[in-house]
Amino acid sequence: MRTIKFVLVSLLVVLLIPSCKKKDDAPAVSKLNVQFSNEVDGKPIVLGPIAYTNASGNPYGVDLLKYYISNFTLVKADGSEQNYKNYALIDASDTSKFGFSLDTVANGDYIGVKFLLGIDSAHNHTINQTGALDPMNAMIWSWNTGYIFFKHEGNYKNTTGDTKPLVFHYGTDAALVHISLSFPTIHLSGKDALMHLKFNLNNAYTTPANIDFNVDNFRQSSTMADANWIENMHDNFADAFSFASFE
Amino acid sequence: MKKGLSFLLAFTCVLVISLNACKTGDNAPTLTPYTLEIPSGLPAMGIPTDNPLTVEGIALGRKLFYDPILSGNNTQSCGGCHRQAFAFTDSNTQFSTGIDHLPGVRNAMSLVNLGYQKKFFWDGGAADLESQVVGPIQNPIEMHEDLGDMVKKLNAHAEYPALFKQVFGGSTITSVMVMDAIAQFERTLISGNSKYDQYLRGSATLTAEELRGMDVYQQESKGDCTHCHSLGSTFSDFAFRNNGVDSIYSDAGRYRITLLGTDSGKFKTPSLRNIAVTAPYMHDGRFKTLGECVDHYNTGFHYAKYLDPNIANKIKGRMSAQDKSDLIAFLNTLTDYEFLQNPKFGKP
Repeated sequence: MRTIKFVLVSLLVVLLIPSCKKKDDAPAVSKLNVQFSNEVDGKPIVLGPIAYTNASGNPYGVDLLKYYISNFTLVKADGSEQNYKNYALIDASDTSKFGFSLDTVANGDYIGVKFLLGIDSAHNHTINQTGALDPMNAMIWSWNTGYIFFKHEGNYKNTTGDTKPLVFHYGTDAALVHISLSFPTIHLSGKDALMHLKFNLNNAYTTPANIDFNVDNFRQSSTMADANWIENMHDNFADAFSFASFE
Repeated sequence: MKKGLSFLLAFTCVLVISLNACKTGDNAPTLTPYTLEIPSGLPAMGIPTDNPLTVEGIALGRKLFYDPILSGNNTQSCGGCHRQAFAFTDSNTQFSTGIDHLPGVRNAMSLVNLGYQKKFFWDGGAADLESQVVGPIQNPIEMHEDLGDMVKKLNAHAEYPALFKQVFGGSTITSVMVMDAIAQFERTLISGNSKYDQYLRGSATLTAEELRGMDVYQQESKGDCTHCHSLGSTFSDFAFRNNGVDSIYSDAGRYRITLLGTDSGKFKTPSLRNIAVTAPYMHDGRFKTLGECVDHYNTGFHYAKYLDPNIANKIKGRMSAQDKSDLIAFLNTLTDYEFLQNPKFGKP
């Protein structure tokens, strides 16, 4: 009797536990790792030294570079799109925050990606959110609810060669940038894949509007002058990202 | 029979254990739901579904509200500048001083009936009560604390980890939990038992002077306070208005948030509940007395660009000295002494 009971109970445990699991089909999906290379005109960004020059001829450095990439969307060869509604904080000081993974991307051919630099309005009017949007990530303002989409802090040399602080905190709904990149067809087949995208910081400061750090060097997205700067940066960001490689 | 029972018991145990294995995350904490007591005259208060009130959550929020651990050098709490006896304003202080001894630029606001308000701070910069919480904590001229450091301190504290776990589950305290807990406590700060409220319920009588003042408050040709500070209930529509305190703005108010020119010099209409104890007045605390405030609306206002039309079309000097003193007598009936002394709202 005891043995029967033991067997029955064991059987129940075995029967009930697997019922929790999802069905394990053959992998129709792939894990896609998306990584961003932060560069200035082809040179990977090294935090600290004044080692770069923008289109306005201002020598500058990067002490801190953080930005939000969200609503990453893959474009299939047939033009259909899959939005992963994700939020990722890219941080140039932390190799674990150079990108993000999409764990279940349907296998097939893809010809492009779309994403937002910043946070969509629906998620930009409360900071009572977790994960990448946790206010602890220091990408919020204390006086205005919403996320700082892009942060560049460092130093630059002014016209007389003096080193001056550079603080750019870019955000508000009007600042949201839609990025769309296309590339030669890539194929996801169930194996882990890695996509490299490039971010060229200098492109944020030129084309169509040259940002002169002697004029714009402290922007917090809260004054009339900031509004003009936001508009210029918004347009500049359009070509700041590019597709680099897929493997 | 006994064996059958023990089998049934074993079966049930296995079932329960197996089913629990399917759940993710921590065990749901046992919490006591809290229902707000809304005084008659005030509307029902909407509570966000993702931050329901619980006895434990409110108690935690209250503890945090009064704990200087939330500041950069552990010297200043929320309650340090929002003092209950003054309807959670900073007494007679025009600009409160932060932990680095730097003065602010706006007057500490009263924390009363917050659950009826949609936006917080004088310029509405905080889009919800939870989001508001971290503003003063982070502000370099206020509590000047980094949220990461704040959370580290709380996680290393002798009492907080267990308290947070009880309320929110999880093994680590996050900044969002701090925001939720404090917002829960703040939603309980309800004031609706002033002499005026008691008069409405028939349990108090207003003097002749106070009744005349209530008339001045409402008459369009006199005080006309009601257009913005609706009589009764919350005593404000909480809209953003330019009330003509300046014609050139040193503080652009709501403009800083919306970057819309038309919002220049606009600030949130504050509630007039407990107004007698919340001096000084206006966003920058420029007026020391209610008399100065009434004088401003009677004669002192500037014809600023974007001045609120309810003020712009008023004749200067329309209130007599008698009207003004009657009006102030009425405003004094809005003090809710029970609220100012309720031990539930004080330092635990």
